[in-house]
Amino acid sequence: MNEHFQLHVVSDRLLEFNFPRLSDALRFRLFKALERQQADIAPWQVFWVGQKVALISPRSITSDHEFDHLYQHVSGIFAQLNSFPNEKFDSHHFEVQFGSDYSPDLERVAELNRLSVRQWVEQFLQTEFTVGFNGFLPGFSYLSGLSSNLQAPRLQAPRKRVLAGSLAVAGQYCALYPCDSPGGWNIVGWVNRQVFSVSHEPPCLMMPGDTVRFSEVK
Amino acid sequence: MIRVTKASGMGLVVGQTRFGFQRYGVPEGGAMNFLSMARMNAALGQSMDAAGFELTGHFKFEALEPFSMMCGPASAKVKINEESVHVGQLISLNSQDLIEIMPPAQGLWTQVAFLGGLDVESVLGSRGLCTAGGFGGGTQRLLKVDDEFGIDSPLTIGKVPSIALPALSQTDDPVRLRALKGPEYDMLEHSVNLLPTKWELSTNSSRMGYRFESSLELSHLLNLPSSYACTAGLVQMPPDGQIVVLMADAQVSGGYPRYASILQSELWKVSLLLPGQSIEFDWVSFSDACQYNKKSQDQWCRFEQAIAAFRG
Repeated sequence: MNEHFQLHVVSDRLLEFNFPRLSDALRFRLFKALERQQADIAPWQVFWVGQKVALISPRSITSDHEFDHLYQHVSGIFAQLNSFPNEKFDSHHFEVQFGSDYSPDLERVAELNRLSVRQWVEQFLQTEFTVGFNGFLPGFSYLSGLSSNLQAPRLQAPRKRVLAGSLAVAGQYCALYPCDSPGGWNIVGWVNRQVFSVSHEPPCLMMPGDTVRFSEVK
Repeated sequence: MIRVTKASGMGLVVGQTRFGFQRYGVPEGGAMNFLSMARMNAALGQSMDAAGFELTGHFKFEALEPFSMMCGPASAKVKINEESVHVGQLISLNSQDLIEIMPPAQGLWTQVAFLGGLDVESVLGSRGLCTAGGFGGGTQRLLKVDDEFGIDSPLTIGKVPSIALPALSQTDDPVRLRALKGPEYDMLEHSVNLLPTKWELSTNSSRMGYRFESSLELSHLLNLPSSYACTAGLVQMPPDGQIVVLMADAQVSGGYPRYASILQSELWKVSLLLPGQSIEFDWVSFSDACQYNKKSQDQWCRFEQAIAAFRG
């Protein structure tokens, strides 16, 4: 067993590697390398979520040798990690509308952190976020980097409908709702930009490792 | 062409699973009773790429031109022009024929496979509706009255056999499900005095997840694992101490402790449960799971061979 990661057989078609001690830069490098070499383990797909990388098969496996092969594959790439070049990631910028019509939870979130709304907004706009992973909804990117004095827990009861483009925070994450949907995050603003479209290639604007900044609509 | 004339419940176009798009946050989708749909499509001589309907509640349709279809699961209740018809065999319809689909005796979902498949565009690898993203399925939403769908011509026309469709036995109470223990199972076992063995399906369930209740009451909050990837069959335990079995439209990531994962070949059984029915887990080792999956794969091969032999 490799001392640098933990391995879990999560299901009969999902194998999970957890890299809790890897720096963000190395983790993104590793995950990109795994994605690039995905053809070597087809039909298994690589899907990263936070500190973990999942290898998922379209069908359940019938031999434990298959998992042995995957383990060797990931271990092999991990061993060469320092020889891989640094990866390039996209940077995104979004203009945010703040105000009572767009920010139903902003006052409460600011108050929770003992900040005025203006202080909260200004600190938020100074933050550079990193896309951790996409989940919850198609195109819903979990943006990490929200400092502890800007955070707020999820709502006790989720809203039945959150508008597409809503900028929301929950725990250590910030996100843009890609479509109208139910949701339990605190809505602090609104962005007039589509972040997911099936007619785009790739359909998702933001991918793990990308950086994100926000500015206020003038 | 087929027109929806009554939509009292939830109905949608389903196709093959949308595999390989998890990195964009796109759920796999597909039929709740994947086995029923796969068997019917195989009997019709077509792949899982062929789109059909999956319905819960009471639905009526009108045939606007002749076509053929097959319905499942085994307990599906289907009438053509007010006459009950057998499921698991080809039903040929003429223009103006009326189709009525009522809730099945087992589970909530009825599957309808069309010879040739519904004529809807494939979006991100499937013709089925992505309920979370609001795309695919032709209409990008659930079925409504007056929706009309064309039906593609079949690629090959051969004899269509009558087939057996999935059903739970009367003695399956509770329904036993082979499962692997989840990564957080040991943590859960240490956090509570006694983990329940029997879980009862609640009415608070959806295509994303079936919620099961028990007598378990957690006295303190559990440690949450960091976020992880999900697939259908994963069993999560939220803070209320109940469990959620992730189903076809499950989101791609989660954060509650993972209690178990049901073997993929057993998931059709969950789709045949009604609220109030119970399940128990039969824990299997990974090696046993592989052996059981191999058996299921062999059974499927024999099923396909029997169809090929019937078609000549």
